[in-house]
Amino acid sequence: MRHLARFLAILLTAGMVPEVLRSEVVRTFVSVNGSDSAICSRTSPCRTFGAALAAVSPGGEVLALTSGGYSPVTITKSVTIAAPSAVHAAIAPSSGTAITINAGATDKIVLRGLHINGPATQRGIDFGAGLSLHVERFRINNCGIGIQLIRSASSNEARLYVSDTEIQNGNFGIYINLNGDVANVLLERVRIEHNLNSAVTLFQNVNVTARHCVTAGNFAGFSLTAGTGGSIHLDRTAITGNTRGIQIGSSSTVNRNVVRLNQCLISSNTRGILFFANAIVETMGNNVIRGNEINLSGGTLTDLPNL
Amino acid sequence: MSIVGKVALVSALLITPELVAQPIRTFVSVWGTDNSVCDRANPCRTFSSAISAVAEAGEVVALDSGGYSGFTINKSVAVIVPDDVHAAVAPTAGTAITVNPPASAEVVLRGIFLRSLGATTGVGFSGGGFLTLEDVVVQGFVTGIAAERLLDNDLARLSIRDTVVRNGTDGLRISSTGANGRIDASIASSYFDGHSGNAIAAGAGARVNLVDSTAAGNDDGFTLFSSTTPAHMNLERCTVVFNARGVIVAGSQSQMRISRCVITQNEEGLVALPGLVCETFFNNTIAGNDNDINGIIDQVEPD
Repeated sequence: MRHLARFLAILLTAGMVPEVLRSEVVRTFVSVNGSDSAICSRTSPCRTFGAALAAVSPGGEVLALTSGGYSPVTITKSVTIAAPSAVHAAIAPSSGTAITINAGATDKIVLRGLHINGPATQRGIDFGAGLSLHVERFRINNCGIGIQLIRSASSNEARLYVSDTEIQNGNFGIYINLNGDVANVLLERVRIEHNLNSAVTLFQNVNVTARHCVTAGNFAGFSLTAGTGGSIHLDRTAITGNTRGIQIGSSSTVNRNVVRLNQCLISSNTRGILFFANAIVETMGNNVIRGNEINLSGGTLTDLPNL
Repeated sequence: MSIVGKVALVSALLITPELVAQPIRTFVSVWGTDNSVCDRANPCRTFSSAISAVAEAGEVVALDSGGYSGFTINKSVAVIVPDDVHAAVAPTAGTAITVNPPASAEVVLRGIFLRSLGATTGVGFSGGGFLTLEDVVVQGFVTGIAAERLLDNDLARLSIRDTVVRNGTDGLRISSTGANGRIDASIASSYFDGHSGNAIAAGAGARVNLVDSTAAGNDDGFTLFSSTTPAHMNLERCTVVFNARGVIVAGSQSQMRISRCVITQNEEGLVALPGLVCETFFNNTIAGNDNDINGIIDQVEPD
């Protein structure tokens, strides 16, 4: 036993102790060839994300090794779940939610490279609790709501970062309502296409910046029509082929919801921008809002200064 | 000397290790064992061994996914993790990757995943030469990338592309504080978010150019401060959002230029102390912050 302990100490010093022999398990693995009775190590991967999550320490990584289908999972702590680009790790439940996040108020979750596919009754990702969520290189197809962020008012901030992701062929793309709490959302190189309802649906006090994004073929591209204190900043984003490109309004004249446009293309929509009551849409004067059946419906643009 | 003796002497000279050429490419694998060869059939377990075994300016390639130990680079080398491999370095102390090569060396880190389990620094760049980071993820360190140098009369270059640095104290700290020190950084399509300090803190001697990059959800976004030697920061088509302070320029030797950027949804968008050079070009969106501009900017007609 002494020799074994000394041997392990040497390995630990050299950084060679396998992840699951450390008291803190920094990395676990899943595979379609794995088993949940295994220890979720590189040599003995688990079958489900749930088992691998249970085995990994907070802040650790869960890595998918092989292509194939995996079960839905609930995340309750900080973690990174990743699939390398050559691995097609897919979650396709017949009902319910593919990835449920019910983590602590300061927890940070990173999801990379997974595929979610489902019938229209599902949610792809439900970010119910946690501080921040990064969604990177995801494909979400045919979900009732692709990414949902809905919470009761609790004075907790939420941060959502989505990049290099496609959300297609569902009902809603991204749906956010914190009932008054503040959410900061950054979308980069995100394509949200052919959804029956809105690509991005927001309620009060949600701030969204979308950069190099595409919303096409939805009922609405960006929708912010309720409450106050919300903002959408669109930068080099294309909004095309929707029934309504942008729909914007506020419930009050105080702290109105606002849309800001910089180098955007809004075209081939039935209505380019639809203004509801108390709407503000500001422009840098460098956008193309042309080729819609009605370019601006119910309002006019306000110039922003070029600084 | 007898003929046998001469043959023995010649043979000994031929197999002297120093005369055996090092391979131009070595390999690491979670199934490997450290050895002196680290070839495709017999990969090493650690990057350290593979770097020792490879020739100057060679490549070290990670073959499969899993955890690897931290390592030090003191020569020209490219450490490559292909797209279908998740090679992670997650140290509990110190620095994950120390880069300390000689002045003319070229070092490339591609595709590696760095995460802190207590370590203070992700990449520590303390030597000379050129360091390139491509498709790297750096997560949870006190300093994600540390390029603060004390060298004088020395030009080092840092190139960062498609890299994510997040959830630490500072993302990148860069300076060269010798009297004639200078360090250049070219950063493109990269992302700095979730830091309790700065996304990027550039100091004396730093010349930082950022293109198509983002600072989001930090306490301070892009910060430039020098009161000793000239320091520059140029932001082109960058996005600065959700920070307490988006862009800060201070110090008598600082020069900031901002073009085609979006600075929005910060508490303070741009903080520019009077008397400094802070130029904008009539093409930025600085709006929607609690306080858009705190200070004075020079609006310059673009060329």
